[in-house]
Amino acid sequence: MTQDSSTHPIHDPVDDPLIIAGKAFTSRLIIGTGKYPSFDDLRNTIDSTGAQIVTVALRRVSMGNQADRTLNCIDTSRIQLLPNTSGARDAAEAVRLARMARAASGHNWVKLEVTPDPVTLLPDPVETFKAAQLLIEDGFVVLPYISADPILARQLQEMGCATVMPLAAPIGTNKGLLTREFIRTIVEQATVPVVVDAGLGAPSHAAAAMELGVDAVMLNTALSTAANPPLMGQAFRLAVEAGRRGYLAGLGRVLDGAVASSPETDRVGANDATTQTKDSQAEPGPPREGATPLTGFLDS
Amino acid sequence: MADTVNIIVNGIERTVAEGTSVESLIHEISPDGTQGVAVEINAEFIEPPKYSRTVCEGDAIEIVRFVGGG
Repeated sequence: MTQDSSTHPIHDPVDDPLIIAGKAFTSRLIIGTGKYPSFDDLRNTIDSTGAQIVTVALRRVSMGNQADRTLNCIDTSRIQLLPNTSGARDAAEAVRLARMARAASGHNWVKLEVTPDPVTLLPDPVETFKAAQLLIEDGFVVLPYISADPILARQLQEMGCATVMPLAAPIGTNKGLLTREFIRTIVEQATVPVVVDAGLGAPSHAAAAMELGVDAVMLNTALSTAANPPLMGQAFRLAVEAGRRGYLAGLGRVLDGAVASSPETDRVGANDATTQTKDSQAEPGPPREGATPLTGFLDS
Repeated sequence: MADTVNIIVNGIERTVAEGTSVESLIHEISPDGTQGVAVEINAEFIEPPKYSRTVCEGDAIEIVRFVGGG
């Protein structure tokens, strides 16, 4: 080491808020409320994730429906409610749902999802674009769910969307960061927060996404299909925090070949008279191609 | 003769007695009554105090609620 004191600060989430539409959040984990085993599980998972933004859907009430306690599980004095337009097959349906949700909740944030294909549930880029324009004109804070398409992401951020939300894998699959390289590009070109939404299944996936520099992740199925949703919520909370810190700390360089982490000089037993012939090959040779070993401290 | 009205509730055509209130329709289908539902008549959101209003011929009524979703 070259010095005693560090100029490297310890991370405090309060100093690194997620800012969406001018509102600051210390949690970078957004969750959905769908299909949990019980309302107790939902409530406990919202708590264990520490999520400050939570999505809900809007559905018709039908004869024979069970009572729905979803809203009872969300403390809206601490949590930003984010109604989604799930079920919308085109821009018109999405706009209608968003307006109903705003009227019903008093909140103008909307997660825009337009998914006409019931097999893949992939978001329709054209209808999403059209709906986003209409909703922004109508005063909504729009968080659009999209495929990991950097061109579309740029168009939506230029239009005035509050975030872009590219998918990691098709919704509900738990497959992880299939779209990693495209998300990397989106992050490089982003002027609004990037939220990876859909397809993340394991805490390590969430950590990997955060290490890429995404601003937040959104999940539902990873929690609701876990054997123990509240415990999984805790795991994801830690993973998102770990990944964010990893990103801010600056990941170390990746090399081919190997470079020792312990000093290569002054080794006990090196160059001893009794072992001279053996040790003539023991000094480090020139770096292998692709390697850029640190040299600063060896010189001093 | 005209003691019924034809309306649409949540996309389904229905014939109900004249003088039926929106509130009674809500109670018919909602397990929580008027708690936690939102109501639209002819694409216009209506506030709870207006639930006592009677339905008119051709009214398209949506009774919706927030549920879990991702």
